[in-house]
Amino acid sequence: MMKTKIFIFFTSIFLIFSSNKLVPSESAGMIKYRQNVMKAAAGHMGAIVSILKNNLPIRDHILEHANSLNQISKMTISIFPKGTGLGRTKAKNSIWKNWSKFEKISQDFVDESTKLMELAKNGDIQAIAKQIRKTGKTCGSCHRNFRKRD
Amino acid sequence: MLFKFLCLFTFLIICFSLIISADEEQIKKGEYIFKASGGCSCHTNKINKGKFLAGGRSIKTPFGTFFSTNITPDVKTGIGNWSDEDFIRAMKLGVSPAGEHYFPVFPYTSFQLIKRNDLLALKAYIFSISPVNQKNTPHKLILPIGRKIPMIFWKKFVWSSKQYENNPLRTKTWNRGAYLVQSITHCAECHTPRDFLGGLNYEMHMAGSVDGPEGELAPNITPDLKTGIGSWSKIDISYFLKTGIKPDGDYTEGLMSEIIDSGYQYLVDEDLKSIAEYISTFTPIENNLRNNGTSP
Repeated sequence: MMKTKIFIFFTSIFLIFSSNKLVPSESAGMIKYRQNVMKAAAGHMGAIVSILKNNLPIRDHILEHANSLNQISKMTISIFPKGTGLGRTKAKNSIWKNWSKFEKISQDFVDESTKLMELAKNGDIQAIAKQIRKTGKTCGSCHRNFRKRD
Repeated sequence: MLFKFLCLFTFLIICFSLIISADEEQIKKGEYIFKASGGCSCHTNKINKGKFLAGGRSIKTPFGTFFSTNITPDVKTGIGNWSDEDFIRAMKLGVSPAGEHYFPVFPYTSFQLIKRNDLLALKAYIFSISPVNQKNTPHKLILPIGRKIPMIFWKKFVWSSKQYENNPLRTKTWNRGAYLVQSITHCAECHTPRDFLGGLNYEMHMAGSVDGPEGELAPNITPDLKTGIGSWSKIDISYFLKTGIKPDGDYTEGLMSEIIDSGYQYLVDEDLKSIAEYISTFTPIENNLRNNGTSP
């Protein structure tokens, strides 16, 4: 009987630590963190768009925002670890069920934001305007598939 | 004799090329109207990689599931044998050439305001695309009722036929925007909630609906600061319609994204400006449709 209890105890400990799922408090922290990261991404998108549509005389800022957006795009995969689909989040469980699709769309975000960054270096406003839309579409594609609607 | 023959031949060639050029012009105009309507995206079953405008797309509503129809110029299964008058009647009165009343999931309630010339151009464009032989799928309604009696009732007591009229007190830009929004872009069909009979609730004009097409939420687009788009500038509105990117950098989702892709992105800047001008004059209505404030 004692042996069984010890076995169950160690098995439980093993399962908890071997799993890459987060415990609830870490999960809530991760959810909040990624919400802030996503807001930052939207902020940089919105900033670029504000410069473009209002023809603001700070075009050199576009490159800075494009760089930041590109950095964030590379973080996307790591801020959605398993076990963070519950709580105050709009992330759908389908993220982890269709992980390869999620990875593909996240990579599209990286690829398109990299192109945006390259175009921002050249300063071709027309090309940037087209590319910001393509970058935005990768966000939209991910939200359509993996974000709960209001 | 040879000279007369050459003159006649040249004259005929010129007439023929003028006719072709007029037709092309009409088709081009029709294509623009088609895109301004959102590219009739409901009539293409994109999810299942259906053919262009061949129908079969499911549209979930509180009244059941409707399936869009084949509007390609196929004579047997599409609208290929429709005359101009058939087309006008369908778009303005919601009546098929066989005299059947359409359910208002087909937004003739807005399309009735499209000017006759614009409708004829639209028909010319639709008839220029490739016909697709594909039978229509029957609707699956919650109440197993026929179409005739309820639709006659609905048209008599809920709907009213009308024509678009310019507002002389407003600018040309505003009137162009009003015409586009009320008729061709048919924004109210999604963004105005419906009553229990499926009619648009005009007291909540453009204040959003939780029962939008395909079960999606259609946001409040009145200039209400708290729950609508009151913080958006006219430039924000027109840029959004062109790109799908909101002022906060988020990208639009669902059907709106599809409509922008299929149509609104092709609107010329003047029309986008007109639409923004008109939308910004809506009466602000506070209507909170969002149930929580959580993010990814």
